[in-house]
Amino acid sequence: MAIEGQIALTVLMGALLVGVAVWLTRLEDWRSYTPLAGGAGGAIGDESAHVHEEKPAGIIRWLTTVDHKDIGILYGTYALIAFVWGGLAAVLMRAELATASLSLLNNTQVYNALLTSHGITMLFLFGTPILAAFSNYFIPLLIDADDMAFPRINAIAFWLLPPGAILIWAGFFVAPFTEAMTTGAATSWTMYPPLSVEQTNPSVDLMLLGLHLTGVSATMGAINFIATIFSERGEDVGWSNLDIFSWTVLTQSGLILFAFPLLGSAIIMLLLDRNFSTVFFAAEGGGTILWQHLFWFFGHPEVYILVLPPMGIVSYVLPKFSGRKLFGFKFVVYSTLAIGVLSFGVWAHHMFTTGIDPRLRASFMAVSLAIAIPSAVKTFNWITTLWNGSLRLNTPMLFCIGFISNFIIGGVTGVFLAAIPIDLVLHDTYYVVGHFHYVVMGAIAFAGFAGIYYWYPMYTGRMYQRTLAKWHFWLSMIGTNLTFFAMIILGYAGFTRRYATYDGLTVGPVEVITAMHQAATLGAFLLLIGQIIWVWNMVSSWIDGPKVEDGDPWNLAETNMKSREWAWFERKLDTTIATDGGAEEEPLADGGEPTESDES
Amino acid sequence: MSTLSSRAISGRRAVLVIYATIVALAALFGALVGLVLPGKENAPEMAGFGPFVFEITPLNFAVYGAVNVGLLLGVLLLLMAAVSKKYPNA
Ligand code: HEM
Ligand SMILES: [Cu+2]
Repeated sequence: MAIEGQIALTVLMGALLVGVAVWLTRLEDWRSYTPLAGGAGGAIGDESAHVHEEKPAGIIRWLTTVDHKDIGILYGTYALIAFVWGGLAAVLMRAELATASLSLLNNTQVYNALLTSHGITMLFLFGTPILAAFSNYFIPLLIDADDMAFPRINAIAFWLLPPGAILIWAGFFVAPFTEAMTTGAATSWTMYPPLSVEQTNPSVDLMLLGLHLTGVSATMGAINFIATIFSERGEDVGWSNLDIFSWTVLTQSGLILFAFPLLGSAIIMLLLDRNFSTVFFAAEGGGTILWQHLFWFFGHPEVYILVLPPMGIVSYVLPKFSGRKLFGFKFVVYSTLAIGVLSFGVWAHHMFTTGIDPRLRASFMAVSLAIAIPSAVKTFNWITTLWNGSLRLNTPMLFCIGFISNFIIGGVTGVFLAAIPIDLVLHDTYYVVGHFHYVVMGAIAFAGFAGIYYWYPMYTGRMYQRTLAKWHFWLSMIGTNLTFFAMIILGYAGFTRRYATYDGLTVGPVEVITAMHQAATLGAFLLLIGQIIWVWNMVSSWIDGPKVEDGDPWNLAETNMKSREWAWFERKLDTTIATDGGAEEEPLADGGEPTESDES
Repeated sequence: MSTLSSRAISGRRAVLVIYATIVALAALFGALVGLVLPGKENAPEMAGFGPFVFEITPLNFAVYGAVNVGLLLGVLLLLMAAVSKKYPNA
């Protein structure tokens, strides 16, 4: 097709989009909509009953909902699907690496595509959304708000995500049907030029567009949380008694606001370089290092965007089962804010080996070491909370303790990387992969599991199967430590990251390297089994687990730990019994799952 | 179903178990590093710092790792115990 044809097509598509927009504004009088009150806090009884009437049934309800709890469930479901995709990509890679030569995948490019998809999916499609699931569902309850400040923006932010995922994964779906596309994008999650500019595969463009959408979504969500926490707090929720989870989400939203728009702009520049021959990141233009600066100015805050709310969940849940309040609450908040500020001053520790000015390097090393201090303060406070407590070791608590112990290992390995002489040796080895997986899998995902189990009775109205949950914990704990410990050793042995094969090695301790790769693969399979058990437990318990009839299923009142969201839950249970007299079965929502909220 | 309280255990014991586990991991880690290091090109013969210099063997490195991590986290642990004694209700 000639170039005119393409231009004509572009114009046509543009006109079509404008047409759709016009049609949508005509279709409905959007202003007539009032956001549904979420039944939070005081809004019980009549209020909730009224909500029930307005919510359509079945799938339409989920497509049109603006209720923060429903949107929380949507985010959670979405994140789960992404977790499955990203997890299976990881399992395929680990299976390939069980042997030295290529044995499972067609070629190394497929490995590279899986690697890219795994990284991007876990960070942008699983990590950020699973946190949004918690903050959407619980922050309005915790701060006694009726709903989010902008419920419809909340819904839009979520609905940008599914097209984002489709675009990001598109390469895998489309490649079998066309010559033009070889496989998924294979740029790695860091998308460094010149590789990312020169790869002609159009799936890279699709991935960049999809990433852009998820960034817009995260930014809209962040604005919403800032507005909600600032202006929607209930009368008796002041800054001084704001809970720790809301503090971390507030800080996280601030970071998103500064980090994600920058990523968006950088992505656009990359797209222009790819498609319109601009030279932002070409050697004759801005240079490839420019991309690294822009990317890591986003990328390092991103890791704290991912870790702060999990730290909030742990700070929130740990005291509940330690029977005492969080030690040094104020210092935990201060360290959260300190991390928020400092996280913008460390990005070049990802670039120590690129030949940037050594004086710059030294200053980035100093700030990177400094940022470990607030993280250590938090750890110190968690341990002190445990120390004087009497612990109830149920699943949420086990995951919190697992979080702390994995975070210590992840943090300590990070501090070593922040020292320039050590980084020069370990950069781009499996040591780095081990370091950040201790944090992202061992800590962030664990905190997510802690929250999912802790609030399970609230959002499903049912209880999970405790024995399966314990299996999930131990398989995850052992699997994580086996896999990523082996990777740290691989790094010490000098094995570089992002390789699909290791046959023909002549330097280094070859047998140890092979053994460590196999250990890591074994660990990955333990993780896989654990997660299958988890998904099974979550789904089957949601369908027919024992119903929760007690508004305080964890017996928190005993230790004076019952918090606002459980009080809300108790009121909700009361009104349920009062209004439908313990009706047998709730109507099934889509997916065969009983409607989990607002059954009053 | 109403209560889900499993039996409680003492927080001190839990923290000490975590401490012991991490020190044990450090020993294992040291042993493995002691195993892989000599196989690398131009690896040094000896390691350590100050007056403590020793050959790179798995055993030496296991002790090295355990002692280092044990001391470092041990000091922090004592500090933590002291702080929580001083401010029992913070
Ligand atoms: C305790 C403070 C931390 C320090 C001092 C630290 C330090 C570092 C350094 C210096 C690197 C670059 C290594 C290299 O490529 O040569 C690195 C990589 C990385 N860190 Fe950390 N880190 C810390 C905590 C975290 C946390 C909390 C997370 C995740 C939430 C994280 C995630 C990552 C990721 C994803 C990478 C690898 C990026 C890549 O190259 O693909 N780190 N860390
Ligand atoms: Cu960083």
